Amino acid sequence: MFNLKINVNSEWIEREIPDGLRLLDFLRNDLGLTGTKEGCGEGECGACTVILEGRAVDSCLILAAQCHEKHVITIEGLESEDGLDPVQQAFLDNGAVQCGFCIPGMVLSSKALLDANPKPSDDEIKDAVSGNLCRCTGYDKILSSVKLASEIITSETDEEEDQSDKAGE
Amino acid sequence: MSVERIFRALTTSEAVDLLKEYGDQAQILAGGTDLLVQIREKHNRGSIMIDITDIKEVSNIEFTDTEMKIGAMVRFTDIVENEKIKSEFPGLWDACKSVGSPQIRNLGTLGGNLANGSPAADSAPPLMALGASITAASSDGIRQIPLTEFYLGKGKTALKLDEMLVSINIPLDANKKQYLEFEKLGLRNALAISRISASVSMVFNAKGVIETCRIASGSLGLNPTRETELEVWFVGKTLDESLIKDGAKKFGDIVEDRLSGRSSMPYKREAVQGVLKPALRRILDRV
Repeated sequence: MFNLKINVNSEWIEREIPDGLRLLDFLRNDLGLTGTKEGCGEGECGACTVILEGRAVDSCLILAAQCHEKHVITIEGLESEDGLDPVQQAFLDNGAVQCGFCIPGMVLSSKALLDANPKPSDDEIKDAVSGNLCRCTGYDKILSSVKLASEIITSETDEEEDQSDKAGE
Repeated sequence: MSVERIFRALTTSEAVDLLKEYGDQAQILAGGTDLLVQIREKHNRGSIMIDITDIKEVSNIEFTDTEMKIGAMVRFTDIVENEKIKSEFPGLWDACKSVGSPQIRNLGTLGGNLANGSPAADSAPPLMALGASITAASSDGIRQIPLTEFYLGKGKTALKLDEMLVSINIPLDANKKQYLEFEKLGLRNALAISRISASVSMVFNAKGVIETCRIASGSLGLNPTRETELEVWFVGKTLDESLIKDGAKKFGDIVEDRLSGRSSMPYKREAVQGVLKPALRRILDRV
């Protein structure tokens, strides 16, 4: 058994786990965070995407023990006291969700992109979600939702800058 | 088989000591993007994983005047985000950027891509065209293995059971501008296992004549391979559009001879020309 210490959605957790446990199974079965989905189990579909140390990764392709003392964000960790994350809100407002199975992964890949690059080009958005398959083929609305989220995030930042400018005056 | 035990090694010497202790029961676990699929299908060779994720000394890309050294835990994303590699070695950058998907590149390592011995490793042709070698460590010390001697047939490499790949070493010559390009055919953009690829490195003399040329192909045979006959053909000539066409034809002829009698030959004979020409044209554009 392996004594795992891991930060999931801003909370440090310590658990004794089997050495060969995948991060995906740890999240779903040990922590009950079933928003992370298993699609193909071999890194082709991206349904199990989580954010590990700021980067989107397939949680089916990494052992939980490899994440010892590291930070993981799952779809459950995006909502804050202020409400849904702008990426989640944009997917909802834009009707980008069909069957929903790919959506947690899509949202987290988009979130990782926007955290690093708040104003991505269309090609950068397509590249960022290229490892996430949507079998409902709703890509068009997914892409426009990421653009919408980008607008929301950048206008919030602009507003904050305006306010701090005014405060400085 | 199932994973019985995982060790988190924090130094290379710790990892190689574990390799020595557990022999063929142990496997090095780096990015894990291939190994985790093997574990899921119970095709993994060993039940003991030596996780090298947190070995800091093998996690960097280092440049000196004579060498670029890429540590075993450098992930594809680290290479894609490296501005020097992007501007000076676009062929290596393109190959790394074309691996898998963002999620795969965020985990997968260049070292793992080589150590797995896949004939379709996208990163191998540009590294061969750069004249790269591998540094392997064991508890007895370290040794260098030229990448051309590293592949021993499908899935097999020159790494011994008690050895760990610690870095990929690329010789540099500050006095000679090297042009490196890469092209591959795949089934779709993201996640496609490369079908056929080629990488070309050229150095030109003051008159624009090709002084040295290294060409490597991927997915043509059991191993990524240097195309020495084609390399010799290019040396001493001047790169222009007609040479690109003739060179591509020559590559097609070489592949036709090599694969004669195989059902894939007529396709590959044409396809290799389709990957060589764009790579050469990009060099011509930059010269």
